[in-house]
Amino acid sequence: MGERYAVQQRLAGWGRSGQARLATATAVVVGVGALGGAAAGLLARAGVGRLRLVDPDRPALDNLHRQVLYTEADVDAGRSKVEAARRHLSSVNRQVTVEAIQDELDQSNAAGLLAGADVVIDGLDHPRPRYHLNRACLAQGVDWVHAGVMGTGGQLAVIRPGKGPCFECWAPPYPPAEPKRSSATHGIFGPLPSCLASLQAAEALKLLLGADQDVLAGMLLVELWPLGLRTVEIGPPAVRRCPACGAGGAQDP
Amino acid sequence: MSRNIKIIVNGFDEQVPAGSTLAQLVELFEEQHPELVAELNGRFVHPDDYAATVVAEGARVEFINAAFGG
Repeated sequence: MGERYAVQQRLAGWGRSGQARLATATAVVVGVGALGGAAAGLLARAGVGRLRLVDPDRPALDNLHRQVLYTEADVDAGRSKVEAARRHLSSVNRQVTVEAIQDELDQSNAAGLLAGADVVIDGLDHPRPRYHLNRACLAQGVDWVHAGVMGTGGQLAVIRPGKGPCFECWAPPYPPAEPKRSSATHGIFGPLPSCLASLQAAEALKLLLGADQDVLAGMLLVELWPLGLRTVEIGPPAVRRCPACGAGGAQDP
Repeated sequence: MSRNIKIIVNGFDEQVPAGSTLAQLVELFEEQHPELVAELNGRFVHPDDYAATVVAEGARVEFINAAFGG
């Protein structure tokens, strides 16, 4: 691998064997905007061997304050986000194979988009497809790293099928109502998604390296303005069973 | 005659009727948002459990609007 990874390989528990493990890993990034783009950049730099990028959109000028992967040239050229991202990531690390899939994850295609994934990064920008992602990851037994941002705050959770609560153990019931807050109504603080994306990349790398015991348990709530971080426990539903993973249901209502 | 209990809601001291459920507090504090997740004493409560969850004296309740942008 040469010197490219020398500095990260010095971390305890990483070494050449950890690096070799990353080289054979596949990470799927669903939604390649501010969260997914920044996370994909870090995973490419870390040497994750295959990145599959999934997003239906093209970068727009009002994305650029927070979507660090894209340039004015990408906007002018009208490239898709996945194609622009593929170009940038390939120039960052030519050892990484980048698959660009211009599509939107939904119920019908989720299984195929996640095929072969060792870990999934949630870079989605709406609640609804996250339920489909959750169900597909549960069905395939793939770990995924959820994050969401709005305004100046957001949350992070690692969902590990069969090993802990899933997304629907805490999320509002499906189908979710249209969120009250959107980037159009409440804005998004530029540094926020990159902050959460860095945490997503960190959790994904730990999972890929087999450092399961050091992965986030519960949910990390992040507020940048004023700065505050705290963790909240997530349990299975206490009364009804989770409709997705079946956990919980200690008593009938 | 109903008595009140002291709890903490979103960091503020509040008085609510004894026996209040989380579902009643959501209405009382007008927190019915599509992105609502409720935290009771440091742990999330699933929305299906709000109506069956009675809040005790001294409880700490946080109503959080989950963020779903990316």
